[in-house]
Amino acid sequence: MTGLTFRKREEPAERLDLSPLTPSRLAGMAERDIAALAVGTSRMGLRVGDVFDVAMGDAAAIRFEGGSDRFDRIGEAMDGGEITVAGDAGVRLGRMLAGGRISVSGSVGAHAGSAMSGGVIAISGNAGERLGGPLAGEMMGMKGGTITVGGNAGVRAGDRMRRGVIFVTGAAGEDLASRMIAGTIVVGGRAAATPGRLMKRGTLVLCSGAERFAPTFLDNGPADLLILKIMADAFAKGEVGEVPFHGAPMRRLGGDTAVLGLGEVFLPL
Amino acid sequence: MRVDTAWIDGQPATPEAALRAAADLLDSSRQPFVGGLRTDVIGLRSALSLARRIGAIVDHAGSAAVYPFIVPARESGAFLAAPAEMRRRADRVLILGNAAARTGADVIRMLTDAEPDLGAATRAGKRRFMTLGSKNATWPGAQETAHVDCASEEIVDVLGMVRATLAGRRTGEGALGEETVATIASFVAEASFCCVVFSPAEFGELGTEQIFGLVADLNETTRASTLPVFAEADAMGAALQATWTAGFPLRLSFGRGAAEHDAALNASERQLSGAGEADLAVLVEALAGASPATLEAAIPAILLTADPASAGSAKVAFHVATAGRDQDGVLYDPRFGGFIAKTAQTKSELPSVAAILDALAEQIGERARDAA
Repeated sequence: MTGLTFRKREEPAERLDLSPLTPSRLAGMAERDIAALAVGTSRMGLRVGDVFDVAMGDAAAIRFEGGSDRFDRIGEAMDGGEITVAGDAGVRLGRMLAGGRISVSGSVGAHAGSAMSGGVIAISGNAGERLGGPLAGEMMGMKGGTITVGGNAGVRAGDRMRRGVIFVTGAAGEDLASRMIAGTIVVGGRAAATPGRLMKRGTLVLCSGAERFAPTFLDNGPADLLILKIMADAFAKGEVGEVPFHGAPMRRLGGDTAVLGLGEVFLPL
Repeated sequence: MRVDTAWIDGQPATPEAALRAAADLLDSSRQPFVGGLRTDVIGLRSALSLARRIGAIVDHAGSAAVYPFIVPARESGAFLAAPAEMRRRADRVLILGNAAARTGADVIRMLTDAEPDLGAATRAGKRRFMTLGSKNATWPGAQETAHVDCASEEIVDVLGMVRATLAGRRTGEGALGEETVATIASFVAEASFCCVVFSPAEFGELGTEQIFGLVADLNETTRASTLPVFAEADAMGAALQATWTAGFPLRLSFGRGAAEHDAALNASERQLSGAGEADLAVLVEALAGASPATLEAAIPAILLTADPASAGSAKVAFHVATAGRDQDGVLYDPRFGGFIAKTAQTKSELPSVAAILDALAEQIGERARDAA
């Protein structure tokens, strides 16, 4: 059985809250009921049927054909199943994701994977600011799972990250891993200044280096660590795939000593 | 001689016709924006009430000046003091950056014009000042002022080094040498009650979090607090009022009835630039010295302004009274960290912001009742 498909009719004139369109919430629903779900964010009261042509199918595999940077909150709090977006997505993609997989062929807005605790988010294009980061008033960002970004990540990716893995193929914006608590971030391209500001713990692997670090990061010199090879091998076998480091010695920095100072950053020698 | 107080497309109109034209615009708007918000408590109350009725996005024109304070304060906590309390207790004052001397001149004067007279460890002592920035700021009345020269963009890193030094952790090489960093660390750590004055907009969210973190660290062993100062103090008042009215400090939307907050999507700059969702703005610019934001708005605007010269830029405009100047008003005052009543200095026949916004809301309500 093919998946349940939402085909965009035209570019929406307002932001849409697509959080009701997850596998567990749509399972067993009739087409008429799905079309009546409210997704608008203005007083116009838009419903699914106003925006999408719905092609019924297995709700465990949802597909958005034709994305938009106004398609917000796709896959919010999803705990299983699969969502595919052919195009761009808006803010808070996969926020609070607990399980399942979300794939986006284009780019996404801010707070993708915000405070997620499990599952996989695969973004082929760029990610907006605060990838995995918390919303206002939340103490923790990403708490588990995996995010991969084929392009670049915006400012403050991994903010207050607690657990899980983020892999960015391209470059990272300013203040990557700000206030990081734990977890692992790998960046293939260059990181803008100042990665790791106020990080307490956690691991950054910056395969193309960084613009600059705060003076509260200390150069520990070259580190020939077996764990780097183990990590690279584990990533290659999992959702992340091949990473641009393979266990060769790297330069290790420790910081941020303004706070706890137990974070580590690996750079090319 | 007739004095014009309302305009439609830049042409003088009666207030009644302008209200009808404004209501027409709001009726046909898909997503209105209520902004500017340079008015007093009563005007803000009416603006928020209208916004709720029409499902508007809401922000203040000066939110960008206060958000670098609001975000770290709500995410990480902050030691905050009232200026009057610091005036009586602080024995050492650390002034950070180049903006505070200008934006917080009144607050700093409160500290330079007096000596501490409360607190067992601070009363009867001399207040000492240290400035960390690229300007050697001194004030008359300050007994002792030390200046440490440091580029503004380096201060956050230097404060990180101070925190590390105080905690006994190592640091690398920064903009200031180890000895100078130790001098700053001693100045704040040896205070009985240290007060840190700074402008959050100069340091951004993470920089402000570093400053709050330093003060939190100091409170492990002594007393310390902060006095953040703002270029747009009335934005702070508007944020407080929006919080007690709708639960969020501005940058909110009533599109679905209940207020929803998003600090990026609902920002005034985004909505007025045309990059957002708003297709019509209701802008209030009615405080002394307010700069008409509508001149920069890329979307049609209904303008309530104290400056009739700016009326031509709006689809519909109203000349309104300035609260605290033309009429009595209640305004936020950073010297008190709260709201104070301000008596009118002149007598004006101009309508208040609240009167126009309430009349507009009433007109929209009547149309809704007629349609039903």
